[in-house]
Amino acid sequence: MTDLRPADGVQPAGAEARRPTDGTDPDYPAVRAAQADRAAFDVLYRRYLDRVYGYAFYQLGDHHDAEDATERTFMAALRALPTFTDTGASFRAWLFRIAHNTIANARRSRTRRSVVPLHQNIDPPAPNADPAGLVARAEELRRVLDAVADLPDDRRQVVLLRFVDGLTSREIGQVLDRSEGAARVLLHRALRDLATRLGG
Amino acid sequence: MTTRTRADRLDEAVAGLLAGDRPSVDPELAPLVDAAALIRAALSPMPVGARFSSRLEARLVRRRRLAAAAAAISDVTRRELRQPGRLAIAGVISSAVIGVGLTALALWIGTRRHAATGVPPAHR
Repeated sequence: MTDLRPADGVQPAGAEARRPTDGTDPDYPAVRAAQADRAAFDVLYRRYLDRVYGYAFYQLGDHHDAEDATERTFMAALRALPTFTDTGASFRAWLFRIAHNTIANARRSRTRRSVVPLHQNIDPPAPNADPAGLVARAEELRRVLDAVADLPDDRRQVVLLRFVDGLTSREIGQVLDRSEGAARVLLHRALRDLATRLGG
Repeated sequence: MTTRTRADRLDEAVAGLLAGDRPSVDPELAPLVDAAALIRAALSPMPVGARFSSRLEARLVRRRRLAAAAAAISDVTRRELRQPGRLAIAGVISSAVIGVGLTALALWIGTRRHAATGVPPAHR
């Protein structure tokens, strides 16, 4: 279940998260074009489909649920696009905030359903690969994915947004409604937890 | 404050790692950067299925057309509401047209019925 409350020692987003992006958002021209003509939304859709899907998949651990969440995210983004303005959050952060809320709803609605462990849904590697190497690789992959899945919710979110989607700490703060510094602290804590678990 | 400083340095190291570099960090942060490298390798991009992608694209196109139609209707309504006098005159004229039309229709139906029977209404 997604917990949006600030963790211990983590400050909520302040003024730093609301600075205008000073035109540095690389998506802004495409966003302006899509606001003028919705057909131009295709550019943004193609640019972010894989990343939104990846974020949803690693959160939900199921391809069908990830597809559903991805569809809802893009539908909501298309609907809300006229309201997007450059008030500090990049389009990417804005889109992932929609994805974050959509996925949180999906997780809440299926709390009673059993969920297949994440590593069982990863596609198998090529059949002609070295078997011993495959076993070792699969084992390492399983350990890492299990460790990420066991992180507290806010730390797991930060890890996924950073490593799957390549968001900056500032953007992660905007997605999770925290400050940039708080997102950095969460990443530090998450990696410290993971280093302890994976190193042991 | 120390944690914050470490967090900033780790953030820079992770940014370098994600950019494809192998950042040099102090020994204190090295295990965390190693963990970050493992996570980066494990959390590979998830390709979207072609069928799902094209299905969602088609739905987005439909949604866009609906939104465009709704926006056009909304524009017309807003434009008309900006001139209430014109709207009132249009209402009066359209009501009169409907009234005249209905009266004409009723007269025409009555005339046809009488013509078919050949009997004027007063002699039935």
